[in-house]
Amino acid sequence: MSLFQVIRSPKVYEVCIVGSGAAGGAAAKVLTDQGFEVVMLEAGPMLDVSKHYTEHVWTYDLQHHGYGVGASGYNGEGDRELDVAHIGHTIQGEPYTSAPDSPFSWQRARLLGGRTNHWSRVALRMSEADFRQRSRHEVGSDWPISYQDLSPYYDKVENFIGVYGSIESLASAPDGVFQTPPKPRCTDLMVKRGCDKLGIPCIPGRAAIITQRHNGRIPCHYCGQCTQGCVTASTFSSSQVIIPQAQATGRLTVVPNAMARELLIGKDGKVSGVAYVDKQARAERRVMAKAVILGASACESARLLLNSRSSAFPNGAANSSGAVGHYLMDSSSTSVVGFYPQLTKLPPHNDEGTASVHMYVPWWGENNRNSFSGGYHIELLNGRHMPGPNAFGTVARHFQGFGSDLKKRCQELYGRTALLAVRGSMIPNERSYCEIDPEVVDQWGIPVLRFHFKWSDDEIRMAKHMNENCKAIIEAGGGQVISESGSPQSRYGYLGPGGVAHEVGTVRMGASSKDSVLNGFCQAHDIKNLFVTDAGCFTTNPDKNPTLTILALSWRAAEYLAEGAKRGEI
Amino acid sequence: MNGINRRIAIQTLALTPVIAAACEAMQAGDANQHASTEPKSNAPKAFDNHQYAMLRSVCDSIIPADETSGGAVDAAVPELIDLLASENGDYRTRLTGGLQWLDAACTDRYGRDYLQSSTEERNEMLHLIAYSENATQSPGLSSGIAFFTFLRDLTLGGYFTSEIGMKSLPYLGNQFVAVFPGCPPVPES
Repeated sequence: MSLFQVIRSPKVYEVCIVGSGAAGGAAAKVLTDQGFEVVMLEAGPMLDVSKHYTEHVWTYDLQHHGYGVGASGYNGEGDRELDVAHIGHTIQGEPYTSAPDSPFSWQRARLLGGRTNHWSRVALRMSEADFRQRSRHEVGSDWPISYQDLSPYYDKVENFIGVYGSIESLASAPDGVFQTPPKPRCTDLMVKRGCDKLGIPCIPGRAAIITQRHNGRIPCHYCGQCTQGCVTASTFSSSQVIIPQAQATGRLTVVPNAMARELLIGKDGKVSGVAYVDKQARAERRVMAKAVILGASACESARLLLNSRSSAFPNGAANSSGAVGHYLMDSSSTSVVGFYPQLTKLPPHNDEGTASVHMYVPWWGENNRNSFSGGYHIELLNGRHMPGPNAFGTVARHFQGFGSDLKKRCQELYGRTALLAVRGSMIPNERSYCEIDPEVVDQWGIPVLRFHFKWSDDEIRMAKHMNENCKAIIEAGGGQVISESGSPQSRYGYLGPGGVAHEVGTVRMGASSKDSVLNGFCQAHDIKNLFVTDAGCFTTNPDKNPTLTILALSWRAAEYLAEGAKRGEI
Repeated sequence: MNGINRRIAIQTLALTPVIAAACEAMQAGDANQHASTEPKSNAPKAFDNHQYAMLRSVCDSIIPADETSGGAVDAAVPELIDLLASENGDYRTRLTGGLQWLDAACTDRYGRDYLQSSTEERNEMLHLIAYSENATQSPGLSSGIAFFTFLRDLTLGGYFTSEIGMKSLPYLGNQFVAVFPGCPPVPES
């Protein structure tokens, strides 16, 4: 038997979904609820809670204390030992390349549920202004849809997954359907004290973690370990909250360890199915469907399209515009750490909370005259969490030295420092894109991506604003800055491209088929029965973390597909 | 899958060459899961006895025991560093090279290697390489500073992820909490 024997499945599904994360999960829910028969390809294994979850494990019970074998998980270099999805920017046998002077970290998950197993759960709606970047600032692009188009789907998503937050009526941070937020941690209160003095808003966080019973799920128990797997499913992941429900309808077939290679294009120019590699059998297989939804992640979906060359689409499926792979964006990000000496007066206590934000600073400068056109928000990510391998790196770099003094410094600062993690917008630019590397294939024989990435001057100018305001907030609250996020030369400590893992834009939607791949329903301009509903479809990358918007866009696209199919149009 | 069945499954799968690599990964995973049951060997894996004695001494200086809690050696930090260095060639090079540098620096300065130098001399040497600003005045110290920074990070990481280190903070979480109580009242200044 040949290793690469092609096995054709005679069955034709109504819809094939590639990917099981936020995009694939939301589409699977909508379609199976409406009676469609769906097959889902996932490049990783099924979720096995007993094997993948490390919730409530003590680091000292792990042989490597969380460092991973050979310290492979240290500083997020590779396989994170305590992460459900073992997120890292290397996957054995599945490389990618970067152009010279253009490093890009591509964080991927290979597990049912994808990166929803891992994400920070920060769940922010994009604002009305976020959809109209070009109209407002004469840079970037306008989306082909408005906030009003998406708002009902944000409602549906929040009602379904459960999100905590508070009603604030801020233009830059539209309110949603919220459960009660958890109380602030001590460092959150200190940051708020500084913000109040400066007239900067600091409001309860918004995160996809339930604080009250919701759709049969029990509330959060505040162990702060969402990314290690939540046995009570109090934190939202596609693998726990969506897939089992969709499977229970009897209409969802999940094919694990299935690495999509190419879209199959019929003589009529429509997509007829997906060719994939069964990773366990190392066999080539095909699945046929009347419509295909890609939710493989922005860059993975772009790769699949670019690798689907045919006489009808010599530059890749649905790529008559040439836009596939282009307009790659990540969140611009920097961070500042402040120590609050007042907190040493409090007795030690359990200040762990959720793994997400209890408070955050929404963008407040949209009506100011800024030297940049974007915006950002500040996530407050601290508390008295279980120390990981790098928990005291900042303290060591700040105080240096050694011995009893350093030990006491660590004990003094533990849980009394606030990490102000900034997440900012990025404007699409011509120099940031991914393409197929003509010379490299992965172990499945699939040509890999090569990345090109440059921040624009707009993001660099915004970094200065981020840095100065974070320091001002810390100092106004009585804190001391202990981690400077870099100098102007180091771009104020900007994380490397891909570092926030909010990569979007590579299969973008737009009003014109000349410079975009999809219409406002995530439907390919060129191929009417093909949809891309992951963050590839984003037209711009505002400061809002993408997952909630992916869920809403994919929900909306799936309803559109369902209606079209019922009318016989798709 | 329980231990025995899992082991049999791994052995069976390992007969197929293409999945042997996957089995190695699974076994590595097993080693992680059942770390605490494995007997600890006293012989270092990545260092010779001289290097390991130095490593233990420097770790003990970085995080010493005090009246309230044990130090890095009590918390088995050198054992963890040895494990990581045995699996990571870059770590091993940086650590063994750094220890060699330390011996050479002590020999130049005091006429004796690090462990034979007096407590005061060792303390003075560590102070020289414990602050990055010292490289400005004495560029010759920069390699030692880089080494010490690396070892200090590993020592702090290993210590505060240990049971002794966590209790010294103290870390009071990893609990089921029905209602998150929030922060007690904080004084104004």
